[in-house]
Amino acid sequence: MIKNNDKISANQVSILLFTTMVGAGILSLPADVSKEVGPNGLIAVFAGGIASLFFARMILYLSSKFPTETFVEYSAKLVTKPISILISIVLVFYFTIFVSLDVRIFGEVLKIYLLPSTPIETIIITMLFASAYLVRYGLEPIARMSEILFPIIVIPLVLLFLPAMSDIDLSNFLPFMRISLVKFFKGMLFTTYSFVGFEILYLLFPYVIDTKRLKKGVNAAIISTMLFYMYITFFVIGIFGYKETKEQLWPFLTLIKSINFPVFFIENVEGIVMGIWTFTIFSSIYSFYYFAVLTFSKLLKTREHSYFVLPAVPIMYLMALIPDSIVTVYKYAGYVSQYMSVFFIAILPILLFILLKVKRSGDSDEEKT
Amino acid sequence: MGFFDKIFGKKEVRKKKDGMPSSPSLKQNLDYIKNKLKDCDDVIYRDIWVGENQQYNLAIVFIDGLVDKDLINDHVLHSLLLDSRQANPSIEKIKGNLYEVIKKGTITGGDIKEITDLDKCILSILSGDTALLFNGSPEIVIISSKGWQMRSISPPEAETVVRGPREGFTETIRVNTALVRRWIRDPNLKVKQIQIGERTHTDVAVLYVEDIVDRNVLNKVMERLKNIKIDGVFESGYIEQLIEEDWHSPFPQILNTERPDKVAASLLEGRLAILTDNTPFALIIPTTLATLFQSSEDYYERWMISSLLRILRFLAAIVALISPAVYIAFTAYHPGLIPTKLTLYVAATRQGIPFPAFFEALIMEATFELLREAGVRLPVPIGQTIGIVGGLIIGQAAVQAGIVSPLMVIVVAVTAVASFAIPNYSAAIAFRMLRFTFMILAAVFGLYGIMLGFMILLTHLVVLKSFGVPYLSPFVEIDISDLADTLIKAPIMYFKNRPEILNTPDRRKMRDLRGEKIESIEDDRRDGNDKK
Amino acid sequence: MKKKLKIVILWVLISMILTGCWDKIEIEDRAFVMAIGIDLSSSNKRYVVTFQFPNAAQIAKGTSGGGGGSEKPSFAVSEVADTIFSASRHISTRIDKALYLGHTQAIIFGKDVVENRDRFQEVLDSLDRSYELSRKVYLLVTPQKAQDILLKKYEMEPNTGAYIRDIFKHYNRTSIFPKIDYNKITKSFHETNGNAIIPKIIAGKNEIKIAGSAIIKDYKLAGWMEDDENMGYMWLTELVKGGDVTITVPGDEEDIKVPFNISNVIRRRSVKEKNGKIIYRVKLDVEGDVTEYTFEKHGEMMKGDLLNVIERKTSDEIKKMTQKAINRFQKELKVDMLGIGDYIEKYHPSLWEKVRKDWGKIFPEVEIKVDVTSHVRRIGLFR
Repeated sequence: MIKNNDKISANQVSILLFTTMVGAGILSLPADVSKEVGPNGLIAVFAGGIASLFFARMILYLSSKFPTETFVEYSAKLVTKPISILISIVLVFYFTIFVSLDVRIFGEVLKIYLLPSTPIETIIITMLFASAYLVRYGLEPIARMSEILFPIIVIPLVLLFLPAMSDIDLSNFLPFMRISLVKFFKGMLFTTYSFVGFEILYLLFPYVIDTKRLKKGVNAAIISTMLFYMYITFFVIGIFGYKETKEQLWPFLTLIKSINFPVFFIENVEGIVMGIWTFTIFSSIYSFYYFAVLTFSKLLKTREHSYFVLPAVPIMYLMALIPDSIVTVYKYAGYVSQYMSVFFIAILPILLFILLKVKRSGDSDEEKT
Repeated sequence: MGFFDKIFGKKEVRKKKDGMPSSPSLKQNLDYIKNKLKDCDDVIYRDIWVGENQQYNLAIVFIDGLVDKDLINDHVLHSLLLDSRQANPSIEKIKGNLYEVIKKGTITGGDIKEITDLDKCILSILSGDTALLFNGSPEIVIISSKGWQMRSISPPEAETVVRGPREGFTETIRVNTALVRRWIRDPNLKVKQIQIGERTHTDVAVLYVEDIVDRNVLNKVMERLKNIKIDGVFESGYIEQLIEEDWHSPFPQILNTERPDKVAASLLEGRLAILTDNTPFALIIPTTLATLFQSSEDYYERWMISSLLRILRFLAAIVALISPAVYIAFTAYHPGLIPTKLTLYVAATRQGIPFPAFFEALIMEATFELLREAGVRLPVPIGQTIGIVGGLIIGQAAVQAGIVSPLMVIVVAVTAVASFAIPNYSAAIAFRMLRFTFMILAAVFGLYGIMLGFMILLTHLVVLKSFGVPYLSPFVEIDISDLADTLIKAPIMYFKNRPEILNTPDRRKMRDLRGEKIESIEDDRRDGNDKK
Repeated sequence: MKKKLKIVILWVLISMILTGCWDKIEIEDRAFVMAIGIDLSSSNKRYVVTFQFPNAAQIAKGTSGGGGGSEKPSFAVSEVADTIFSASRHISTRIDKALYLGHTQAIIFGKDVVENRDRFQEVLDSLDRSYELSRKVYLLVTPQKAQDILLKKYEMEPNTGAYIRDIFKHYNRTSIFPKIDYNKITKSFHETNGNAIIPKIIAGKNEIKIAGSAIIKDYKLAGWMEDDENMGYMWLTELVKGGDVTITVPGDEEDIKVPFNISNVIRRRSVKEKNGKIIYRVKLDVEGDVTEYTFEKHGEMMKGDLLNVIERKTSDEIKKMTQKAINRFQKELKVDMLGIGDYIEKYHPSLWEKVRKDWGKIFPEVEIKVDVTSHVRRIGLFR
């Protein structure tokens, strides 16, 4: 087996972040925002992106203070060891949940659109094994995979929608900002589920070669994710209007089913989109999968993460099968994004930031070097 | 052959220990050689007596067929037996000094060297040199007289181009190194030669340009070559398989070519080449997926057509890889994804066909591979007949008999044509083989199976490295300037630097001259107009 | 250990593959339903669902050049069932192929379905949830029974679904029926809570005709729109993309009928509130050609203000049409299907806040003003 030195560049981090964030959320994002903020979905996505950028930079700042350590190690210095271990375990669990949720949603979508009688267990297990195959090789191939998938995901999706430009009714975005701020923030919160993924920055820092360019990389990643989401939200709401959008389970896929593509000889581009979307979800799954396993191996202080890759498959498989139906899947996804994501995205960084500042000011004389 | 000793100094010492030192007695030496080459009836021993009274006994030993007979006759035998007599040398001088006199003053052959090791002497004889042994002195003169019948330089068979040189490598390593050197007249072009194969002692030459090549890659290659312990090396394919990184992979991690111009261009990019004796194929290291889609003609034609051809080739690879799988997935799983009219047409053409789409595709693809294999082994005229019989008659008959649908025949034909559009034969094989995996996956999971296949394939490619260079670069670890020579081939003035991934010490390839030149021409023109 | 694990995994995957192919149905074993007809049943089950699908074997003969033969080019099968879904499943007990709805081009509702509010909602819901049906399907309502339309074979195109789709393709030659597909209709149902316009289809002896539309108010058929009224509605909702308006120009002895061939329409809207009364103003800019006049007046097209007369007449004609539609919706049905509420909500949100609660009452009071400007751009090849 080829040994990789497991160091990646800031550019790769940027692309890895993008492919991690863009995942299952893309399907339901327009419906989620339409439900809360009506025609102002675009602005909510924009605001969500900016907020995510803020917190991502905060996480980055925190980990840059401990350039050779991952979250598991440096959190122990900030919040005592037992609490750090507890949070790390939750973090492993958190990443694992995302793998399970993503793979479950993927299975459900696939079952509905492409393979109605294939057992979902088969879809889930094949997807997990495919991810495990990649995750076993470590961070460097993962980053490379993201680099390969990035253009495959972005270019066709961007191009596919262009012929639908004429169907857009810009008036669907009116009236402009006539909702209460509370509702707006709630809508913004819903977009965070789609931005989930930059938490991997907690762990990524020691594996980056050119850490100086990392700030730029994170900016680029989150802004491009935001633009990508805005692009899709723009088309979905622009064509359906928010009233229709919010009624749908996966407005993104419904949109694909309803656009006429006069340019293509293929009338139905669902096939292409499902194929691309498979890659999208794959890229999220392997990323969360890797970081779950990595965090776990850091917790146990083992040298190689690959020992835990295969044993994780049955766990994720069983977790993915816990929800009874697609309704419960989204209920759980809601809980996770509302409680756990908010904790890891917002509360934890702020908390750690304050602790860091307090500690630093406490022993500033020693630290100054 | 100086550097030969330098590299293999260590090995040389060991060999010397084992080797049999020659004795001053001609008879003893000859006996040793004869004993070693017992029952080798193609070895010719020739006793010669020279000197005024025929008092000096010499012997030459060579292998019939491997040596240039004219050279031996004119420059060895003639010199020794006739010319030396005409010279009428003073006996005093010769006495006791015969060896020096003959070596320095008599032999008119060009390339000679002396050795005192009988085993090495035998090895030289076996490689086509002629050994001249003396009675009374242990030194043996080896006259380079290799001159067997060989194929002349002819156009490369597998890599023909419309525009570009028509020279291809031959089976003789010396000719091949010369072919490359003719392209690069740079003292930094190094040709390191070693022998591999405990019995075949095949010459293997590693070519590189010293101040361009990445030392790490060079060291890795040399190390792997030295570690080969095998009795015989018969083709560059042996070397390729013995030094490649991952033998699980269906993809060639080392590019082979029979075009000297391609080798020369690769050397200037910072790669290195391995030439093997008796093989008209050079190996190029490191190789990435993108290089498998490059043809040397791309660089000779102007950029637009080259770019279009590149895109076409990548599409061809994808078509060769998945088109039967897509046929299976769409007909047996997702008829909703193809246009209504086409769906009805396909459904109509498949009426009454007794096989499921998967078996239909499998049968047809297997038949195609069969025809191709049969055609390759047959002489050219019969091979064409096979093509016609197979392609036209079997296809037509199968459709008319209602065993396969006409669309399937089209799919197979397109797949076949597409797989031949990939410039590199080994790469085309990889895609052809993987096609069957994709077909199986599509038969089980439909479109999802194809995507699953891609995920696994991409994972494999992403992990794969060729001598430390990621196989998918420059698509991974992106360098924008490198991308100019992948999916497209940018205009030549954009290739100012050597590929980033190859990590070359001297990166600059071209100075920014062209821009200035164009400007100055325009200036001239303007000036001219003003004058008018 | 590691090797054993690998073998086990490989074994699991291979066995999975070998037992696989759950969804495989060969393409020739499917029946591609092109049109669905839904009627209410008089028996104890609720619906009569009719599926029309082409006979693929017959198409094959056509492509290979052989003569048509006696085989039917298309089949239509009806099934009585309590739900649409069960009809699509139970019908497999009677046909040799698996029904596939992914290529369905048209769904026709019989009059009785549309007249029954609950049944119609059930049907609409089953369509909304279906994952096989494309959202580009055309919905149609017929005053007859849907079954009657689908059971007939039409010489022009025996494949009724494709026939309907092709008629929709060149709808902009006439603009006498709205080109609204399932996507737009269901959007309209969702947004207005049960109001929509659905094109109307009738079967003749040897062909079908799509013209006019059915008005659905609160998930129930509220009436039909024909000719002028229908086109008036289409003018107001920007659905007119082509077609012609016939106007009457006074001639020497007899009036001359002149067709005005519509090539481009631009609609502008505005809303004003005056003394508590809402004024909704629609401005239509119509461009088109005159393609016929009269032979005896060759050369007179450029003379005088004939073109102005034609333009004015056209504008009047269009205005008349829209007035009919406005009367129908505003005065008779009292339902806002002209997009006025939607417009106010988007562009005058503060006004909408005031009126949204009793928009149903306010709508009939809204003053709708239509201004039409027509322009003749081309006059054919003669002066």
